[in-house]
Amino acid sequence: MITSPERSQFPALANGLVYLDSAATALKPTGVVDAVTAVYTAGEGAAHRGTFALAARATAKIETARGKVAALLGARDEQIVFCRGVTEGLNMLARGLAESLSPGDEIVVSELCHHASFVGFSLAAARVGATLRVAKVTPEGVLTVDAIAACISPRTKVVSLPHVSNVTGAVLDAGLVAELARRVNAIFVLDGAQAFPHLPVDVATLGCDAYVLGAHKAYGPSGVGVLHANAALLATLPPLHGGGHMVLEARADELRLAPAPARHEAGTPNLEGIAGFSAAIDLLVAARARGAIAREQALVGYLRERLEGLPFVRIVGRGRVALVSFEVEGCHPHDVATLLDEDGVAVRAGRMCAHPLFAAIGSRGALRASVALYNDSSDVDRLVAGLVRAHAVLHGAP
Amino acid sequence: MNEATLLYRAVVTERGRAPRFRGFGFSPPRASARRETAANPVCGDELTLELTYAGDALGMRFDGHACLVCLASADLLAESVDSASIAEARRTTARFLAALDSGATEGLSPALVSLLGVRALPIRVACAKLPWHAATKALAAMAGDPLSAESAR
Repeated sequence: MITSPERSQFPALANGLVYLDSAATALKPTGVVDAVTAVYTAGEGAAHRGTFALAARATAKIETARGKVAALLGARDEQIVFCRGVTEGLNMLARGLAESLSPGDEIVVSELCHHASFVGFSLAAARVGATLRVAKVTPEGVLTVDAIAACISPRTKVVSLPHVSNVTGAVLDAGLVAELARRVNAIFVLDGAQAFPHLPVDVATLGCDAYVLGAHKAYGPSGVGVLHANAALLATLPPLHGGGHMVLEARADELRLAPAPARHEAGTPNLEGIAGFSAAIDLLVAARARGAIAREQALVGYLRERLEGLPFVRIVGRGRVALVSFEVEGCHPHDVATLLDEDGVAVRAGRMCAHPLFAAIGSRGALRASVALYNDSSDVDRLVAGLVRAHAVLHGAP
Repeated sequence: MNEATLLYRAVVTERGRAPRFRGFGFSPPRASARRETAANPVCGDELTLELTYAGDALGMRFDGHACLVCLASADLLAESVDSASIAEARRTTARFLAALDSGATEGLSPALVSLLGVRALPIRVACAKLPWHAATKALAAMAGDPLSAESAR
């Protein structure tokens, strides 16, 4: 029996909901709610701008959060840029890096990429006439390092891949890919959306030039993400947005941009979101000190084992982290998900913003159950019971 | 509490799994047939309707890949317009699309009234609407009404 010491901190679970869609977005603990509310009730002013005590407190909250993220990633504070989420972070990189590309240059993505990477870099490549090379998965949905290597050449300028797949849960061997990218002086970008909430991340060990993560899948508010990149990259990457805070001097005949990270943080920051993310990080760190990573992986193992025990279920891919996607024989994922919802079980159904992967494995869609700090083995048992019932109803059982 | 199960048991599973109007008679279609394809990019579902019209009577068949709600809806649509005139079929499709929004059951067959149970599942209403929007467009074109065809979804 796998239980969750953190479950009581999540008010959305009070009515017995079985929430297995944290890979889409995670539930929020009371600590995060309180941190967001505190920003509003205290009336904290504009960070990095105001000259009064409330504004100074706001600035301190943001910089404290920045330090927490940096510590978690094994990075320095000045390498941490706050953005709106993983999609924005990846698109900041895609658009910015594309400005230095020419026709004939190549960008490598994969069929395993989430649309945030796949579409973001597709648009960027098309804009400048660069070539998009797509590393293919096997018919079972596995992305091998060999398949990635086959796409990398002396013309490769950027390699963008998922650290953990949002469909299969597979973990990329980032170190090997980093070496391949280094040999051709390509910039290596990792999409950390699914990895950050569930795995320890050390950017030096991973060997990436940029790592992008989001708050809302890690128990934090929506609208907050982090683009981490090495100092050289942040200094040369053209900023996506121009505005306040990111300029030292703005005149008609001269623009002097601020150094990173401010250079990439135009506008008034999402203070309440960042404050909430800071509280979420506190929860994550405390939970990991209590063995949360191993517990989650044990729970995913239990989930996989129970699904494999159902003769009408076929699991997609061979991943082991955070989530399991699967098909139900003869049943459309949306029909199954609707009946599960009636049983109070929330899962994802469809193509999960991963159209290239589903096309590659010949599937029109699947269901996905993903676990988080607040899940336990009873959630898995209720999912399985729901699947048995849904399968029966959809096959005309009385 | 159990609206979904009731809906599936009442009409969706039966008509979705054992449709009476699925499959095309000829491939490629006869010159007099009109095909209309509709897709839902959110879920990847895709449906093609084939309408024929002879002697003031419509015939409709369909095929594609979709959820049971959509397939059942398409089958009930084909049944509703079977042997109808184009004008009658346009009235029927307009009436059912309006009913999916309002819940009004007047003039609907018992099976279509059962399908209205999908209104309890707001996210699935689009699945039920998909074939009816496709039919609206096709029927408008068959009636020689290009403006209606353009505005029909």
